[in-house]
Amino acid sequence: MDEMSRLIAALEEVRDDVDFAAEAHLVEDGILDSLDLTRIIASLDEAFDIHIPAGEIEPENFDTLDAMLEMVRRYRKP
Amino acid sequence: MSTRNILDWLEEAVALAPDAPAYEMPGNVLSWDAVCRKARSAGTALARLAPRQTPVLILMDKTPECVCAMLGAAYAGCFYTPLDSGMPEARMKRIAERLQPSVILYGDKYAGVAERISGEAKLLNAADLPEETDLPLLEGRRARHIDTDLLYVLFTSGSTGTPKGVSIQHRAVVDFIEWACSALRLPSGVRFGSQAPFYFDNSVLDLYCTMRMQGSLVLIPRGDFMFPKRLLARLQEERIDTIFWVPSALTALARAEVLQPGCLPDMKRIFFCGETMPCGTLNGWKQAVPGADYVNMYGPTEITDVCSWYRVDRDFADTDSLPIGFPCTNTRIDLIDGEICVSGTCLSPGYYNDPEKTAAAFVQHPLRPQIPEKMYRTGDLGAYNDRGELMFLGRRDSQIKRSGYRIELGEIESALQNADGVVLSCCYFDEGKEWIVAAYTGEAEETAVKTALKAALPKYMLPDLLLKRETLPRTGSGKIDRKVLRQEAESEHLIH
Repeated sequence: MDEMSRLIAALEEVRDDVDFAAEAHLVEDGILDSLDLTRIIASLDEAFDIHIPAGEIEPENFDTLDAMLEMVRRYRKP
Repeated sequence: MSTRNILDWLEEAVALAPDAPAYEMPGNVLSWDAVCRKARSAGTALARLAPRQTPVLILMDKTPECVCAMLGAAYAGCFYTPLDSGMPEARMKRIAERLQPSVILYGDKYAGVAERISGEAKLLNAADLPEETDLPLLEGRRARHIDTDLLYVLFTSGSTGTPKGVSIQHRAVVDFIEWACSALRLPSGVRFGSQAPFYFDNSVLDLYCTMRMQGSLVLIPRGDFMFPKRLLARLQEERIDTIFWVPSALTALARAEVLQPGCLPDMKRIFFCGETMPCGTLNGWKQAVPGADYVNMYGPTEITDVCSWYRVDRDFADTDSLPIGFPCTNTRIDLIDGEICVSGTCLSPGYYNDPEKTAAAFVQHPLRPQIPEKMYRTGDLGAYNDRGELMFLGRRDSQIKRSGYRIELGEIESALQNADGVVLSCCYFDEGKEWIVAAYTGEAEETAVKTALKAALPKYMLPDLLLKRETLPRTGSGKIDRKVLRQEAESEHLIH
């Protein structure tokens, strides 16, 4: 499975009612709330074996699928 | 003359500081004068629709205008119930059926849902509130006020699946706020940063201490709490000097490693209540904001937010437990078989429109058999430490706290039970992971059960793990055994 599919699978574990690919403002539009975000971070940590530092949790990184993928790549071990 | 109605404080604030900011959010600041005018016009509209001391259900976002709507209900001599607009409609409907509101006052975007849950209630769009105030009408309502009139009813999770409406009188709020302003040494002009939603009783301290001290309350946008840097920047920009938050909100900020010594020069008072405060979080904050007052408070909604308090007066190791301290003024706490039992002015007269649950939780005080006196059994276990301070030890039943939300596992089990194709159900809470684990038996597919739960429960109650089982373990008496279920789930490495 490619990275994007794994990302979508990890996100859908948290919210299976959201079409992540279609949304451009997941956070700013209030589609995701703080509980979702906590769960998404845990889900990404597990799926990609990464650690996203809490201080780096910024809305821009969670607003779109592409932004999340980019963030995941940043935190993946080289 | 002593205060009998919380509106006395509002009118005092208008007299002393009419133009000072009162309730505000970024880009929307209402002065005390504006709050009073808007509350009176809401009160006028409500008094035209609702008899005195009837419920007003409020379905609005957390805005300064929502505060005016709540105070408007008080001007009309009614009482308010703010509803969480994010909860599933089915649960709203159950609350509305229990409350039987005379009016539903709603924000524009909730028009559809307000209509669908309305039953016999009259509907009032907040956008249609009149500008004018019918003072004689409001004065008529005020003249009939007594201090045992209800001010609000807040709904909390109920073990049988129906939320319970905790009713609170003016006099309990007056007593609580007078205690809080003095014990917490609040200065006039105090500037609070609000985290608690209005349907959560921690907001009572925020709202009315602000009013009593002619201060201001900044309604921090909910989204800020998702992003530690943004939240910290908000506290700095708004020059917040006092916060009263659930420990999980304080923990999130402490863990994010954004707190640095000197980062919050204006912050003077850090208060918390709603769940156990980890000493590690406290120590993180004390390092960053060393000069502030730290106060731990404790209390269920049924005793008006807070019944005991402890001002942090010594150092604690990260692994220590923080005391919940001593009873507030006019509050008595007895430990009866280890259970924290509360009596005094703070007590709710009962669950609204629910005599059975009221009778079970509010009982005759066993140590005062000579006169009728009520005592509330919290279901929390406590003990005194060597210093005579009260310590919280946990629950005696299946109520849990997650992110400060009070949840009865029974409400989740009841929602599971109501899903098509589910025969038996059981849940437990994994405190370490903060996970709710639910299991069920029956034909139902997991996805269908998940969908049914989403339609019945608020998000913070949804299980993090749902297990379909052939059978569920039983205790000797035939009850479903949560402990054994947990052992099974853990031994099968479903939780690790």
